[in-house]
Amino acid sequence: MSTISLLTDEELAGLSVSDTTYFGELIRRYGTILMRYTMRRSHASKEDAEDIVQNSFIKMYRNINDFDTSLSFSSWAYRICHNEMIDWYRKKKSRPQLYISHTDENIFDSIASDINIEKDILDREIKKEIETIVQTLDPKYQEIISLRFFEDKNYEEIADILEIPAGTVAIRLSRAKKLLKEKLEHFS
Amino acid sequence: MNTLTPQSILDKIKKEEIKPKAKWRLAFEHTLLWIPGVVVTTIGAIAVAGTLYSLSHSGWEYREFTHDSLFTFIIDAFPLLWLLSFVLFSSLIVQALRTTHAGYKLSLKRILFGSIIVSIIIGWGIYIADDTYKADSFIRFSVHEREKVLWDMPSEGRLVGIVEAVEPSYVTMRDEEGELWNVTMPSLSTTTFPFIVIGDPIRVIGTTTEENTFTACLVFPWEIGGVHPPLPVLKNIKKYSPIKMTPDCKVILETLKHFPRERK
Repeated sequence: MSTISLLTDEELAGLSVSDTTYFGELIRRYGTILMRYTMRRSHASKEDAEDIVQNSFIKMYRNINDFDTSLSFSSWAYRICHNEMIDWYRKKKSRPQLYISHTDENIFDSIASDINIEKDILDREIKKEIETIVQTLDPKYQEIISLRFFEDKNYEEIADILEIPAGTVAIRLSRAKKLLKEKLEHFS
Repeated sequence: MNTLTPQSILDKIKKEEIKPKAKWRLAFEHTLLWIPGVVVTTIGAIAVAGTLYSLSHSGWEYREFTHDSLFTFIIDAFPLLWLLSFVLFSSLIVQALRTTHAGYKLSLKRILFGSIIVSIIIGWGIYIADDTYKADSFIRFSVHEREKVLWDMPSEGRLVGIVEAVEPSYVTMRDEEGELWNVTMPSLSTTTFPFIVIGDPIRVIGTTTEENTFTACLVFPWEIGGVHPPLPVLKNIKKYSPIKMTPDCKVILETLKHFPRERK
């Protein structure tokens, strides 16, 4: 294992200023993650998603001296990617939607457990319904659900990514789960 | 990733000669983000100073002679414009601070509370500072204009004017309309009121006895307590009344308290 792979993200960020090799390691670590996040969050074409992610990394590199070490690099990377997606949507004059793929099915169990839906009623139909219901939620709730359940971020990380207070994250997540549960119970 | 690889991104960075922004430039950009916050905080502080000045010279001490009720007094005296300005700029401060580096971490309540406290502290500083500040002059001017309208009412027992001559038991003063008044003070002595000085404005409460002759039962300096009295305080009105009130003055003052007011 090369020494570069032993370095933390934050150390790599600091070293990237003088040598792009270190930045290349960061791209390797976060490229796929951000692609998946972008595809899930925007349902953009593969080419558009690649553009968003590429622009995100370029922005990261340009602003690498601005990386706040009180944040995790992961939160900072997600934040930049999130903002790039917002810009992309503005250009497209549309709104972000959360798209759930078949590979995300195991996450439904996590959601079910979190909102106290009985697992035995979580059949295929309801799983499909979750996707529909989530897409009817306000984008700010979709974003929270996406980051909490699909990207497995904690409250503080979500606050740093979306640049909102942690208290607001908690409130929005609570409301999102409540709405999701109400609609699912109505359906079942 | 098929077409997007770490190398493809690094190649693009190299090809387009993309470089990290210099630290000094980022620091400068961050500083710029603070400017709106500083500007609105300053304006908010001026609004606080205006509010404090307006409240301190609202005329609470003699409101019984200027207003029919406490309610009408509060409506007139409350510096609504200043308070609305303060509320507006406090909300702008929230927006401004949210754009700074770590501003998003603060809850709305904390930002609002913090900005209000800072504006109050700075505003208080402007208020108690020397009155050569331009903001202070502007605030005083607007309050004075309001007061002049309220006090230029000899028919309701209120008179305001510039002292032109001082005698032991009467003064000559010119009112806002330019008219000269002889103000007699049967139970007052001008020597006990050092603020009665030629060239300075005073206010008097009493009654018109003849044309351009006014009998004063109470007399006040234009700014009770000075330019910036400690605030908000209920200043001692007894300082401006005679030690022994004449029976006539007692009747006059009691009548004036229940006199129906005109509104200019």
